Amino acid sequence: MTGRLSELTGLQIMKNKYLNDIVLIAVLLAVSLVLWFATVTGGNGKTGEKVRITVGDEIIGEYSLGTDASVDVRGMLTVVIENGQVCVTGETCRNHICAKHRPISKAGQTIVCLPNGVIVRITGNGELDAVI
Amino acid sequence: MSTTKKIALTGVFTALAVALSYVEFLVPITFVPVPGFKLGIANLAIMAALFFLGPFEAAAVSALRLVLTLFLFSNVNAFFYSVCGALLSLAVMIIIKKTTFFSEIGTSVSGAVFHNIGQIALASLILKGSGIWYYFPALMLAGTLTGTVNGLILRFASGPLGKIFKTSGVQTGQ
Repeated sequence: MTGRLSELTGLQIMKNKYLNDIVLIAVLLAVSLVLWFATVTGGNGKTGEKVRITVGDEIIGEYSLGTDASVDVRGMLTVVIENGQVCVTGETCRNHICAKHRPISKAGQTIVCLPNGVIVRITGNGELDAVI
Repeated sequence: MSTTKKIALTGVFTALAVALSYVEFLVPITFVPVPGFKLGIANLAIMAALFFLGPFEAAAVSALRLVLTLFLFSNVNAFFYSVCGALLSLAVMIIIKKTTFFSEIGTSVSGAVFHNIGQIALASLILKGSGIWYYFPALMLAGTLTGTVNGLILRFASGPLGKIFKTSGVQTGQ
């Protein structure tokens, strides 16, 4: 009898565990979605003004978003500015994630090429200093 | 479980972790345009070690996997990101398991999310800027989803696996 009782309470604890899991997953999903929404609208949806390219902690240059340009970043990749949109091509990294990133145009949006340490970031009005 | 069996199983889980890492290396998921995105299936072997053997064995599997993948097919750059993520992830998973508040699934999810946090923290240190945190929400979302799937896999595998580990001695010639 006591064995069955502990079995039952054991089952209860197990059930609670899964309930806790679901709560944890739901909270994490909610937090990440809210953060995502915050970063996407973080630049207040304003069109950016400049494109800043950095390699490591060194700023390679700032380019106007309004003028079409093609910037070679140390032979590692090319940043293409066209019609107020920025994308990355000709990258030398393995997974080509930076090139697959959709073009960016709003302040605060960023394309990162992690293997090369290159960050392409749009700056402009209403941009937060740090988007966390 | 005898010490010999524990050591042997640690070896088995290490081999499994390296094999799973290799699968992920061969088939990178690149249609998700987020740097650092991974399925994290190698964590299955580490979690199996954590749940069947213990935190010490899980740490051994994790450390051996890191070193072996570095020598076999990874590179130094990726290695440091992996170390940072693995340390944080393992620490959190051990703590979460100790609390007995969550099942394998909750453990897996928190491990995955903290792996991402560890990697992105290192990236922001290396790249000396907070710009990389721009990707954090997407990575966190991805980590929650892949962590849930991994946790479910482990949950369903642990029943049969537990039976095997409990009943079988070392059987030779079969």
